[in-house]
Amino acid sequence: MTNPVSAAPLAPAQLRRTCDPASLAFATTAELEDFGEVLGQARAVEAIRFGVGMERDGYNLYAMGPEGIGRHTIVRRHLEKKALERATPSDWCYVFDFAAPDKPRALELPAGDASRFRQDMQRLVEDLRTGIPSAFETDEYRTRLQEIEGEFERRHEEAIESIGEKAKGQGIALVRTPSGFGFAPMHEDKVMGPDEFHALSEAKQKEVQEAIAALEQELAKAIHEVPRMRREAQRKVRDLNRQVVGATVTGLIEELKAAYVALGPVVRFLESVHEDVLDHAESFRHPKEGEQRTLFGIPVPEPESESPLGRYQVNVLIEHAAGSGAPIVYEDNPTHDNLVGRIEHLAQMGTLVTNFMLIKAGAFHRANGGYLVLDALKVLTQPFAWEALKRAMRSREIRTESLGQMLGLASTVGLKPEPIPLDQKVVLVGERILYYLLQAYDPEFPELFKVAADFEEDIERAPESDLLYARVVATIARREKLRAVDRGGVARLIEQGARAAGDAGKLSVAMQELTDLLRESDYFAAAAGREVVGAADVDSALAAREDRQSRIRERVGEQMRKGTLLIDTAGERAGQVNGLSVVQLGEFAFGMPSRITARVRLGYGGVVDIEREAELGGPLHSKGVMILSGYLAGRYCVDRPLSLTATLVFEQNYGGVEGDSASCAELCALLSALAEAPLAQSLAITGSVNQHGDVQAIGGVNEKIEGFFDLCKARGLTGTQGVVIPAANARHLMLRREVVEAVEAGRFQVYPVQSVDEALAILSGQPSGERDPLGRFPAGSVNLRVEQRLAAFAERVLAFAAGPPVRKDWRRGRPR
Amino acid sequence: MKIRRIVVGLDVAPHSRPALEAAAALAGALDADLEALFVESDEVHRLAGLPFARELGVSSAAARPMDPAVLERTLRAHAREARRALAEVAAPRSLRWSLRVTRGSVTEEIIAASTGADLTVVGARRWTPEAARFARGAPATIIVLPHSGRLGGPVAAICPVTVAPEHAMALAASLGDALGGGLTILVLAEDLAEAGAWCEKAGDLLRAMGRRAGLEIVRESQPEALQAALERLAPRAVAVVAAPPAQSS
Repeated sequence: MTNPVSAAPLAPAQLRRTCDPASLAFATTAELEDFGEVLGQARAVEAIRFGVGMERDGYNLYAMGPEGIGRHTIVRRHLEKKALERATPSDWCYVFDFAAPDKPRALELPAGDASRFRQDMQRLVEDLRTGIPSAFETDEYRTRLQEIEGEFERRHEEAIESIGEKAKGQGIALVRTPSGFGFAPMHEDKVMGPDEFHALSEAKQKEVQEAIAALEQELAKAIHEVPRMRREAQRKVRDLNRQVVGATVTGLIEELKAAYVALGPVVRFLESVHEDVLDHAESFRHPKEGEQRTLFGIPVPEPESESPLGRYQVNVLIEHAAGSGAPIVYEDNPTHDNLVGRIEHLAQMGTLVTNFMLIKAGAFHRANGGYLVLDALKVLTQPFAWEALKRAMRSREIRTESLGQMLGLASTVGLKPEPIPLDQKVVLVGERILYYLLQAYDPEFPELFKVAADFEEDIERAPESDLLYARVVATIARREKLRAVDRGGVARLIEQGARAAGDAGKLSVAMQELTDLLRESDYFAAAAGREVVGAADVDSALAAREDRQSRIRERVGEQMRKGTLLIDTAGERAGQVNGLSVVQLGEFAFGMPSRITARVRLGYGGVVDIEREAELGGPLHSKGVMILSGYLAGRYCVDRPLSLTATLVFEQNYGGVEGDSASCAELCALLSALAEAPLAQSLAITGSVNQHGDVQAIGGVNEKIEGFFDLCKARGLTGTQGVVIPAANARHLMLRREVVEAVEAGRFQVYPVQSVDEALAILSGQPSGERDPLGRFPAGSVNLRVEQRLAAFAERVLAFAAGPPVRKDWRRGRPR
Repeated sequence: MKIRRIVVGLDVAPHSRPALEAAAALAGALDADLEALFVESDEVHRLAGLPFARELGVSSAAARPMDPAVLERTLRAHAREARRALAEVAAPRSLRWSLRVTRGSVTEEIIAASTGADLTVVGARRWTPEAARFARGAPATIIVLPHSGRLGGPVAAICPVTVAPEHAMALAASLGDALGGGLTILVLAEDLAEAGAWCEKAGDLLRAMGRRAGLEIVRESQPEALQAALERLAPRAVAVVAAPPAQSS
């Protein structure tokens, strides 16, 4: 009938696993060596090492874990090591494709050679600019050009003159008219007038007209020959130009070809440049002259790259210093264009124009031949970036295409640059949930990211890990140029690490949080004029951090103290218990007591969760309440119907409740209401319960205890106050020193319980009672009262079910 | 010598426009008056009066009947166009200019108009017998512009030894300045010794003026040699230098 375990609260030492500074064999962290490894991430590190070393398709990495663990730092450190061992990737340029002007050609050059090639091409153009005009200035060229032009003129005029001469021989003159030529009969070396013509005999007139008609035909034939002769002359001029500039151009380009003889594509490009220069030698004669382009009389600027000579420029897309190793690129804004590169446009008189010089490199280009690090969430939230990433990884080539073009939205003239082969390892850094969602919903993802580096959030706490933790502190302090930390300070940091892990037996490896705490502790050490960061500075930093974030907690506490929120911390009442909940505000969490009440009556409704009915309760909370029905029926009403309607409510809860950590409190309130056994209001209880009445572990146990402690402390600790927690949570306790001290002074208790019976015994101060071998609860026990109450309900229900009472015999025969 | 009056002969031929521009450039450079003469060829009028008169387009070779009234209108339009072009080239140079329209033989009208002028400018496609007729017929110096296109480029001056070297050099220098480009003087002579002496004197004068020019001797009796020289030099302008009016009269 007694519950021997129930009365034993936890000893102060069990409430906080302290770190003894004396166990740390150093005075300050300045004595400690840097910790080159990664604390507690052996699994993730091995995965990274494997992923980085695996030179096969699809072995890209997904580094997953929560923020602040140091995923980026660890990944980068490993990539840097590997990158130095790898060959420096090639430089890439875009050049004009003379055969397909809208498809710029990609050229690969050895690392460091792209700039040289660009300069060489610039020099070539400059040399041609001086060399070609001087070739055109030579007497030889002028003479030959004059010969061609003169020949054309001569042939043209001779053709006409010969017809004129022939006509003259027939007594007919070739006369120039305003827009051509006409034939007229002559008389005494002069054109015949109409009178003279009419004076001729009809036969003569006819003869003249026939002769003129024949001559006209001949002249028409000669005129039709002119375009052909002109074309011929133009062809000759082109040939001449090629011959004249050929010597200059060939010499210069051959020189360049010799310099790049090992690079086939470059040599082929130079050959096409050679041909193009010969075909467009005229462009070099007066490249800066000529009329400026205008539109409606407004001068239109002509970009250098659009000029005929701009075609010989080289757009160095990406270049590397020779021997610099493989690149590691982190793109923190992974938009579609920032990944695949973009084709910029110039606005000209309201239209957008582009050319190969306006192709700009993206992260793929920069990381080609090396490593690309991206934040998974950022890639997934940028429109089309994820698709672009996968497409590039699958096709192993970079296809620079603007979004507008890709979606068919851009109506401007576009370019289709030749794709560049892609060889890069991608490291995505992101949350676990994204990894598992991608695994579930994107069939390509498992193919492309075969290696998952799963980062731990904490490590086991042991003396050797305490020392490693101290070395990590030393490393961070040196890297961040902070003061060294003495062992007292390190001990406090270790304790805080355990508190952050939410487990006295573990240490959090959230490096960002540790770094922040170190920085803040350093600030307080500096303010106090200390050379070394001590325990007091760490405490100050933690207190200040808590103070900065605790406005809402204090406001809630104030409402409780003033009685606006009804929470008792003394006395007793049936059907009412103090539950505990955790409020999470960003990174700050605090515990808060809540009044839970239960009312019971006869009925068929079972246990009604008012939170659920009011849609203020989450599914886990509803599940917890439904378990209670199972517990009640299984424990007390095996052989009779559960004829109960009970209502459970989180009083003054206006913001919703989730989780099943109050189910044990709710069960206690329910049993108390059934047994009409008052529960101590000086205690609070947390824990979930199963259908057998076992109390199960919950989260945020430290915050919950401290939340009730703070309220009790504000009202004055009486020595009867305390918190009932699941025994399984005892190992998680890392309570504030203040709480531990109160327990030490006997002014506060923490009771670990394994079953509802234990909890009920503590809360009611009465034995809850266990069934004897005959299956009966002891007399006066809470459980017996519960069972009797439920049995009474069931009997009443059976009585109702039997129908209306039978009319008594002695009433028969009596007049109505 | 001072050139005060320049006559430019224009007709419907396409090379009239370069002649006009050259003449305007010369007038501007030499501060001379510009007199333009637009000649309507009487041969065209007579042709248009014939019952079967047809005109073949210069580039299309399409034949279309000629109508005297249409021709009149066309020629008037050409004359108006010549006036507009003249005003256009004269305005930026602030030239004093005039335009006269006549009807007759183009060559004879221009030769007649050039009487008393210091310089006569006409256009021609190349050095043709007709161009030579101008050179012989005009009492003053004549310039022939062989090809259409912009000014600037080599200038050839045909200069008989009968003209005093001082006069020839002064004129050639003026033309060189006005037209730009290198100057080659083709000295027409029969007596080589006489030509040599002339060239020597001309060279001295050029040096004194601080100028450079090529000097070539061409036999007057061999027009084909002159033709060959002109084809070789391919000048933009050919100046035929004659004795100044005062000397010739």
